Amino acid sequence: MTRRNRHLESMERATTRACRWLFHAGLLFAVVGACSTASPQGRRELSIGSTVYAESCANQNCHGDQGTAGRAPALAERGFKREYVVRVTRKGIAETAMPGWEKQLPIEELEAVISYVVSIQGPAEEEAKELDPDRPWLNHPGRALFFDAARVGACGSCHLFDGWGVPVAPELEPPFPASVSELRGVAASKMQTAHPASENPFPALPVETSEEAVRVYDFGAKLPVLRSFAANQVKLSDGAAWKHSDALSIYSAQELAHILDFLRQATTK
Amino acid sequence: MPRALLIRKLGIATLLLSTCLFAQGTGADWPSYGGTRAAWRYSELDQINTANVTKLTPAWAFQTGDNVGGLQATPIVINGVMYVSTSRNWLYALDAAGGKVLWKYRYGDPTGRVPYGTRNRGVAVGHGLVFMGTHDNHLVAIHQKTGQEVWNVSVEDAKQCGCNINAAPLLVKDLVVVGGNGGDSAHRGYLTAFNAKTGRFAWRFYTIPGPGEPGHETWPGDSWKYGGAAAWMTGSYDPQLDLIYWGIGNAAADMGGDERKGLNLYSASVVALDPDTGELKWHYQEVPHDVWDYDAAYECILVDLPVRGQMRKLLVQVTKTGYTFVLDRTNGELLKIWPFAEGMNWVQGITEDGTLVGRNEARPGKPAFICPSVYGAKSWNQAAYSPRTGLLYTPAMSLCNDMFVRKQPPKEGKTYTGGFWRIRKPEGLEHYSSISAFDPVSGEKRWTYPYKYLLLASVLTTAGDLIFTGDPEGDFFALDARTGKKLWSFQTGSGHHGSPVSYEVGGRQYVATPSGWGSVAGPLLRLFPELTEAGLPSGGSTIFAFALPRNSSPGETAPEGSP
Repeated sequence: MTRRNRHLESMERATTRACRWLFHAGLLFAVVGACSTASPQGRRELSIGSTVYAESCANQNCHGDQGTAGRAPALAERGFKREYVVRVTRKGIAETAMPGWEKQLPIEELEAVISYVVSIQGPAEEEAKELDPDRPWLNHPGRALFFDAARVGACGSCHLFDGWGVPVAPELEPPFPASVSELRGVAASKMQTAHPASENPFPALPVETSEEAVRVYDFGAKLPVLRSFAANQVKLSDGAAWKHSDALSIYSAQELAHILDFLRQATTK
Repeated sequence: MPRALLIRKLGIATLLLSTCLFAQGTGADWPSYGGTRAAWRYSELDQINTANVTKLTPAWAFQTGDNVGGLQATPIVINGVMYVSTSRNWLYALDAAGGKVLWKYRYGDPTGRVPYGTRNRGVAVGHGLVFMGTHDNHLVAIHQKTGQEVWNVSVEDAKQCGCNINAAPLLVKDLVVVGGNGGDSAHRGYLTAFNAKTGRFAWRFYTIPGPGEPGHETWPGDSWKYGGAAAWMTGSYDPQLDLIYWGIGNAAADMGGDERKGLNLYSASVVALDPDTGELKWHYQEVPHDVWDYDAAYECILVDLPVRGQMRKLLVQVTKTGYTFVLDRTNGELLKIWPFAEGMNWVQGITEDGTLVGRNEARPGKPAFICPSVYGAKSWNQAAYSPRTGLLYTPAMSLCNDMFVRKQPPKEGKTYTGGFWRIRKPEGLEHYSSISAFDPVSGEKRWTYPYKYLLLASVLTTAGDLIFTGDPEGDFFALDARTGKKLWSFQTGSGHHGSPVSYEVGGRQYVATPSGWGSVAGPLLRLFPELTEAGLPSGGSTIFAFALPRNSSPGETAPEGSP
């Protein structure tokens, strides 16, 4: 069931809540007649709050229209308690882009925008979760190298780890290679060679082979490319010229040692 | 209209043009994001013209069904087939004469937060493939005839970079070049080129120089790693000079300039690159040390025009700043700056050599009221240039903001604004936006079409001397390109925030437009309570195609005074 449908169901059970939702959805004419329970003052406050929200919270890809999110988290249907909305709106969140608004907005506008954000919470189904639990190895230099945005073909462009990166190669699990040379020598046992009908062979990691189609990751360049062929347009053969050490050539031995250390620390229970 | 007749009708204009680089115009198609890679948004078709546009009537409509985030695309039309992408990367091939679906491709819908929102501004078509950037920062190639995915590459983990792709890619020779969002995140911007046939990585141009590269010294400490400078729109290409041109976005943290004292190259700049290698050929920085979120990311319009009596190869960019920059595109020399908007206060002025005078900046603990706002005196919706009138047609809007600086440490991929802002609607204006016609070199204004609210759709101009665009209230309309007079309009039922195009199928000219409000600028309309109270603008996602009635006799479709 979609979120919107859930809302429609809850409408039947709780008219007031439904009216709020209709209100923030902008269906003003629809609610004015039907929702006699919302007070005129409440409606006016939400209207002001909606404008303040548009001026200050929705803009430039932050929380998005009606709290639907952009660069900043979604605010709609999060089940936030009023106290939480009040605190964060007033004080902000340290070391993030979320400012405190209590000194920037007149009190009535501050209260209006808080009411507006509360009004788009929907049913309180679950407590808001902590988004980013502190992990001590997040600042490990090996992690920065693993996901180094300044190098095309960093580990993270092929490996998923801790929810980050691109899931192309097998998931990384302990035990890890004991040394840098072992890391370089990791055998890419699943890698094959693709022979397309109309181009040169390339190292390929098979994803899907059926009677109709063949899908492989093409390892012919720094970033793996998922390519799809009609089955009769490509043949696969065992073995490949590709070596893990080639991909690692963008790192020094010392950097690889940092990466190994990071992997071990991050997987130590 | 048969091709031969069409070419005869284009007459003198075409002859004049044939001596210049861009003689190969759009023809019967709309082959590229900006019409051609010179980004004119000009169609050579003139069957629909000032004399008969009042008869324009809907030919077909197609509802994409993807009503999240509006419809911002520029449809691409080649040989009677329209390729259109929706906000969540649903891709359709349509019969451009009837709107029937030929095939559809649906990229997976977003499962979590999309850093810069779900929206897509279009695709590139060539090499038998359709190329599309995705909401999770992939680039995919789809078979042009079957709609099957041929290749799919992750440009960079979207979660890590806090970025994704809204822009249409640009095809240059054997490569497909694409930029991405991320300019308001702790992220280092780049353009990436892939082999069009295989998807293999070809080169990456980082918009912020790394250690050892010239320009790196304009970023103190580690600020270069998090400096934004995203190339989030589509560039241009000059095949004769063999250079690609791209507008580069704002520096991050947007308002927190103290952590990145220096020019911050190549943020808020235009860059020219060798398309084969990605090597920088020249750059021109429009806003040194930007602290106002003034991207220079918009379209680079390539025209050849006389400047002070001498024919020059120009690059014209209408920017967020309220000023239009006219550069020599062979070397990046600044030739002219002219204001296209009013009420700017971020600087007192800009000298002829491009020096900013009297910078008005917010400081820690000292907010500033700045015009234009972070949305710019022009948003991303594109201007158009007509070689027939010699005029540049650009949208403009009048919004301001209070800016507040706030110290913030960068966290890779996280929002990195170094402050915050509140959009302010200057009180008492009758009109908050406009389309105006300018001489592209002198900046002399010829006419203005004022509009009460905010015009956020691109401009199309045609050889029929018409301007087409739409407004957030749902009207799609035509103006006389020479006078700005409104000649025709049609209510499409949802606001316009995309880019109209024109093309011909079977001798019949069509004008097609996306209709569907949404996206980052969508909430701006809530600054106008009377619109909100009227339930406007309503969302949607539809392509409307218009044409003259089939029973019009040829005489009726001839343009008045056509050459």
